[in-house]
Amino acid sequence: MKHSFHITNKTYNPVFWADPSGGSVSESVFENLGGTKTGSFTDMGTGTSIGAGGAGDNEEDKDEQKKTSDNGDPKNGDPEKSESNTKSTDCSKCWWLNNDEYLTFEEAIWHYRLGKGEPVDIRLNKLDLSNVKSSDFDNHDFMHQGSPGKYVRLSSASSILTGNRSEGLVLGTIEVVYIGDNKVMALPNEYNFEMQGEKTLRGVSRDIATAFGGFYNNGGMRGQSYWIQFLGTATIRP
Amino acid sequence: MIYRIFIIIFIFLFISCDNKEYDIQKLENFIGIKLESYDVIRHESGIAIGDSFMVIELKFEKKDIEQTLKEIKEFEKYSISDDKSYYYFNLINEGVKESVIINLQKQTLTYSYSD
Repeated sequence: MKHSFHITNKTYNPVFWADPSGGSVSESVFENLGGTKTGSFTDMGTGTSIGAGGAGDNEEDKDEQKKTSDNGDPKNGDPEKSESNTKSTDCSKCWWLNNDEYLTFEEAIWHYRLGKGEPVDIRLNKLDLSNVKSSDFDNHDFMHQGSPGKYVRLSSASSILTGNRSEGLVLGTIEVVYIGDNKVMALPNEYNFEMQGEKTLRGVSRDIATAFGGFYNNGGMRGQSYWIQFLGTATIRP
Repeated sequence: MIYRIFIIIFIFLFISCDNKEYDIQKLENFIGIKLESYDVIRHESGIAIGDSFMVIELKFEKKDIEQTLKEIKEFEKYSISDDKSYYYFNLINEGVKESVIINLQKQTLTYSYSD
């Protein structure tokens, strides 16, 4: 799993446009953009809010999302956009998905083969994030719109042994951003099998695994990569 | 059966080695300066099917971290936190995300890379 640029990505950069409250990416934002963008300079004053977004599972979550918008500005809430961002993608033709806002390994493979690149939404709090603690973000790996972020390996040895193997296989490593009060959001992730060609043992190992994964996922068909978007927020341990 | 095959692959991936020098060189290329007089206090990396990431954190003396900040090319693209304690910059291009965080209080420079 990786973030990758394909032909549309010069204007469609879901990492940049992700809502820190955990809401899904809204297409209407991109329709309103005039120019093109090849890089993302976080917090450079270009961050456009896509609405408070985020689908809470309780009143507290909903309240949090109303307060939070892009760059953590609590003033940008837009109830209409919020409402639209609480809904998951409706892929009515995707009979292989059971629309439970979760993606099993089998569903992920069939969507790769048949989904024609349609994005899939996952409810973040359905993932096993028991290995993530708020204190982990004291040593953050990156910043996203002013909030600390960590790379969380769902495919780590401990996750595979103690948690859900399927999540590790489908999502690999995800980028999780801490938004306060023991809550996190996750940035969109692309389900694809692109080779990087880095000439190190790490790079070669990655590409070998990727080639094997791509071969298995294609299954004789020509798969198409797709974005996985994470809805809502999840509560983690302090 | 397929789970077993993937688990074997994961085990293979876990034992792949870290290459500190290579990653520091990558950082130097990214920020456009040669780094000296630092201690590596954190180096993590991981790979899976279709993705990899690496994080390296360097600790400097106070004067060295300030000097590094001054010398960084394209410094104007960096954002600064409200309390002015750290500077950060992200670039996402060609499927690769690179991020630098300079923390003046902790005197650290954190570089992360994911694809």
